[in-house]
Amino acid sequence: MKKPELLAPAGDLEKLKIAIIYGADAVFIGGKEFSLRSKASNFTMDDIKEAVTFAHLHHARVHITVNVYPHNEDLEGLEQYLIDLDSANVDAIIVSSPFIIATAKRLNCHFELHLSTQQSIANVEAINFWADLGINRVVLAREETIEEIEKIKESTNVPIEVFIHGGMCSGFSGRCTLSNYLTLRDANRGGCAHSCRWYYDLYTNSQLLSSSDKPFRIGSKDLMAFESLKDLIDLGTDSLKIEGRMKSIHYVASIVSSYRYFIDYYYDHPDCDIDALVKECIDMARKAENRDTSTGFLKGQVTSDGGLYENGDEIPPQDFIGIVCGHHEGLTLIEQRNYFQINQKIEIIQPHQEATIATIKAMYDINMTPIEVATHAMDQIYIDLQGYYPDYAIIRKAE
Amino acid sequence: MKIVTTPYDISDLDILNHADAYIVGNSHYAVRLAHSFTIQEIHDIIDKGHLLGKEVYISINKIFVQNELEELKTYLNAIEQYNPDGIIFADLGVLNLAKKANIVSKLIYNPETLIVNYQDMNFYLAQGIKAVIISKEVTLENLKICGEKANGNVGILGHGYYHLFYSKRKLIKNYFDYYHVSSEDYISNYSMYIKEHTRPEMFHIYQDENGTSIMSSSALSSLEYIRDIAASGISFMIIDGIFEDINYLSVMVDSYYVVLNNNKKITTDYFALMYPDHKYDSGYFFKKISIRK
Repeated sequence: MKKPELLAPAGDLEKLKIAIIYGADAVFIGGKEFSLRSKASNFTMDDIKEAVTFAHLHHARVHITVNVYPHNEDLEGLEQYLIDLDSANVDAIIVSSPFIIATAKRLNCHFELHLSTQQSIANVEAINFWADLGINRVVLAREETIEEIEKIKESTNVPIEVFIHGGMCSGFSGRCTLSNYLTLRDANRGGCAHSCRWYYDLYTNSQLLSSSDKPFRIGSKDLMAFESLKDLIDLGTDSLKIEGRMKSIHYVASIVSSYRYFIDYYYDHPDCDIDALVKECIDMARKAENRDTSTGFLKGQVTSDGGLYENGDEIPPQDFIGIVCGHHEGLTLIEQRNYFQINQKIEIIQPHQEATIATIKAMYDINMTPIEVATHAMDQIYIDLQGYYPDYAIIRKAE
Repeated sequence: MKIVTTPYDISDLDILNHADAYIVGNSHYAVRLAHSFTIQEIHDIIDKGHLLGKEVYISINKIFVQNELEELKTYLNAIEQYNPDGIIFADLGVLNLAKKANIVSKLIYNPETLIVNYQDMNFYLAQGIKAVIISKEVTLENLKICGEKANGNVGILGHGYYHLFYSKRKLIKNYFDYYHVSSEDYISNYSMYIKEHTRPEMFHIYQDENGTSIMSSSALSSLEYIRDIAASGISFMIIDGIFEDINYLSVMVDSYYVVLNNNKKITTDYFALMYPDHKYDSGYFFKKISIRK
């Protein structure tokens, strides 16, 4: 059995480090130019260099999203940007525009070229078209079933990347201009306003068919693929991709951990009780996942179960208290994210380990003055956990 | 500039005689068709079009998932026997299959949203295909740059409702299923609309066996700009008759014909007066779409 790459999103350097430490084999990040998800923090070239250095030290790969469809006025600066990425020693770029592909080939860039899901590639003939042009990997459209992905794998040697978790376009990615039309934000240049998640009225001629308490919706639940993960691994999927460069470090750590755990456990115990493993991993992921989820198209045509229809689809996750950033005389220093009090029961998650339950017995501000409550996000606070927890351990309120 | 349009019936070819080419298709293999023809009807229209000295293009513009490839191959082989003058496609898998069948020179690539600069446009033209169709969401200025720099035949949507959204999901059926209501009357129904809660516009929405499409609320009209566009080097325009009828479509075709060929000045106001229930816009010709949020 081949272990697939686990590919995680990173909106900034901190998230990148978290993703890698928590088990991602590769991360994808956006630069300041030519990248979708413009609201993600995105990386300067110096950040990219630091990211690559950190990732390579940890034997992880860095993929850069260069996946816009540029308009004529956006083409300027492309060559230098690709040259700079090559100098930064990135491992791959994720790309949609054939001109960007051709430019990278002409410049003899060393990085791999991964075709973005924005090209909505859904069959092996389309894969082969791009493979002939030198594409090293194809990110499949999210409309494929397990059966179809298996047929694709049987028909091509081109490495295949499949989305397993996160937000999903309701339509074919790259083929949507709802955002452009409704808000003048270009979805294919990083400005998507997620108009497919809005509320609509449905009419036939002038007769209203929907109602205020049952608005017409076209949006998709997020993807969560644990139920199909064994099949994706068995059929030889080369890379499993988590979406969400704008998500928090708590989310990145929790979701990466849960998929890392599944892949490693199944690899080591191929005859294990899969249903139990799936349930365990869903429970792990649910502590950080605040959206309704489905398996998308992996099990077949999306039914009403895969759509967003009612309010309240975002369930509050367990409160993320902070992240460990140092130690002093037996105390743990954390950078705070949410309000908490002394005697708070907490859950501590660490890379490659089961979560630990503990109670905050004492806490001090940065000047070692005892405090009872922590109220300000980003403050640094010492807490007494009667144990050692390494940097980047994530602390959240226990249920 | 050639005019390409979408008849609803074989008899429409006589009425749409100012057009240079016709687009036909079957809804099993194509989306957003003005009318779905049977394979035999497509064959007959090609024969009649050729007798009239016109070109006929077959649209097979859906995205094909892996399990649909065999059927696509069979269809491509069948329609090639009818000698169409063009095959409009949106999935590059079709291009790869056409290479094997040696019919690449008939292909017209219309991915709707993916060709927004002249470099990508010329890349696809360099694959040896017959033509590409520029995406709607480019400005008039950029459209003309594309025309000037084109290394081959380039077309645009010149008139009609334009594509906004294409999903494999059956979004109308799913909505009614969720609330346990029958959706039978609303599938394959061209009288369906959606309206975003805070906006006045009514958008066309259409679901069939291939999924769901959403189209613009106003029809694009390029009457005032079409001569400039033609002068830039864009070689054909499509007048898409989806959601319309032959009487309306023939007026549109004749209007663009006289503007293009007789240098007559007709403005979109003329359309608005004739069809007060219609709304027209200039698409993205003058819209500044922002890159960032």
